[in-house]
Amino acid sequence: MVKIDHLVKRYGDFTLDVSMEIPRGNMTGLVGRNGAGKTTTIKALLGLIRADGGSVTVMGKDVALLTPEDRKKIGAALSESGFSGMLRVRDVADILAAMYDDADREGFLGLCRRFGLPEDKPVREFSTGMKAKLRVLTALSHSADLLIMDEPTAGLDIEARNEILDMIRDFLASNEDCSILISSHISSDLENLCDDIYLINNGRIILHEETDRLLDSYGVMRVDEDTYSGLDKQHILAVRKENFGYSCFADDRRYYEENCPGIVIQKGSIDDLILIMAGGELL
Amino acid sequence: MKGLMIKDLRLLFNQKKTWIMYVLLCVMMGFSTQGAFMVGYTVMLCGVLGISTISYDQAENGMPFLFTLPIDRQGYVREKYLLCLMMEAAGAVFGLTVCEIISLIKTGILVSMDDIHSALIVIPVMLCLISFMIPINLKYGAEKARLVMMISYGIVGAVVALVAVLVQDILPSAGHPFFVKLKVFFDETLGATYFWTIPAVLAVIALGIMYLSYRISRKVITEKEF
Repeated sequence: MVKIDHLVKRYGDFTLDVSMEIPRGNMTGLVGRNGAGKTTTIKALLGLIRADGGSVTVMGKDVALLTPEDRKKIGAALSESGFSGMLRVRDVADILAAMYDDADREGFLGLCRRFGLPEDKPVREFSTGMKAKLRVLTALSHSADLLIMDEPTAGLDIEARNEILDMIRDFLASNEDCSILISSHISSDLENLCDDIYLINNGRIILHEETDRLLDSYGVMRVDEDTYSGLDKQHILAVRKENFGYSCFADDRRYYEENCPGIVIQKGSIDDLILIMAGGELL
Repeated sequence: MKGLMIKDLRLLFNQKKTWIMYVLLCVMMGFSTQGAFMVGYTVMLCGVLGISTISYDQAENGMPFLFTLPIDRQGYVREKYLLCLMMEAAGAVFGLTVCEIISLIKTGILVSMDDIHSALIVIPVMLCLISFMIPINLKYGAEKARLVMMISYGIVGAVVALVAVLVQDILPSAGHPFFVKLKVFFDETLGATYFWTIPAVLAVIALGIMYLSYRISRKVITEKEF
């Protein structure tokens, strides 16, 4: 569905150089710290910026050649960009109905009511959470084959975040073939949703793994300096210096459970992945 | 195109208080000015309102999202020019209608042909100004565009005034026969012989300038990154 092959984009000192693939029906997470290159990747994927090198193919076509008809099959929610605040929800419903052949105007308005978005109030008077919900509902308003969501839950409280994740789950339940790329720096958003995870840091993809394998097989060890110096490092991907010694992120938890009985090794999480791999030193 | 047009019309007509204020202002201006002077104002006002939809699109970083919708960049530009043309036509019809009604109330007769002729000359001029404003708004955004336009209008206004004074007064007064003939040509021959041709030619020129502006806007939006 999506293939990014050595996409290069330069902004001053920052250079993005990423390759990734999203198969049909797959939900892919893109994680990384702020400024790692998530939004730039998504903008290139949507044709909002021009690449300095490499290629971006969406639904079999170079992204620069996508027609409005092709774009009808894409739904997008960007973190800080949406319809003008002067519009109201019912205006948005009419605009979407005019733009997408399969837009369900009444269904959209029904969902807006369900999630507490008033029809007649200008969007500029909405809270941050309400605006985020509207952006996601807008992306889900038609039967998209590809959903691209950049930080859809950024800046929201836990309740609003859960509501947005529920919207996405509901959509997935009725659109199983839809491919989704969702970027976030909030791990819990992605752990229960995504099939696979890409970790981006300083403009490079430094890890790609299936979420199940990441959570089941990867592990984190927190060890003092003496233990670290004698540790077998063949399965350690990255280490991060801490006050107590080192946090080590390993790709085979069981290996250390079996061979280093004195060391406590916990299951890996996406938070650990970001903290140690993006904030530490890769081995 | 249809979705974009709905968006822009909603953006414009959701501001009911602004519209009421503008209509009242036009009516007041109609009573306080002579002939069809007000038509130029309503045409310009409606054109500027059409352009203001670009500012609404750009506000709160709205452009990136807009171009994720099923539209292409050329389609966006086409819609803006169509909207501005529609707004200017609506402004002309509204202005002329209000002028005629006010003239009937004030004098009991309709506005004269000379006044309508003046209004028809003003409309292409306003089209040219709008043609100038759209690409600047697209390239620099509303804030910078306002500054660029104020400076440009100042320069254009000063040049036009200077040329008019030179051709009409200073050079003929100097007594050179060519300038005296030129003044007669402007004052009598051109006005009398080509009374209706002048606004028609101006309209064609304005549409030509608008097409050139459209091509520039297409280039601006194609090269832009969001």
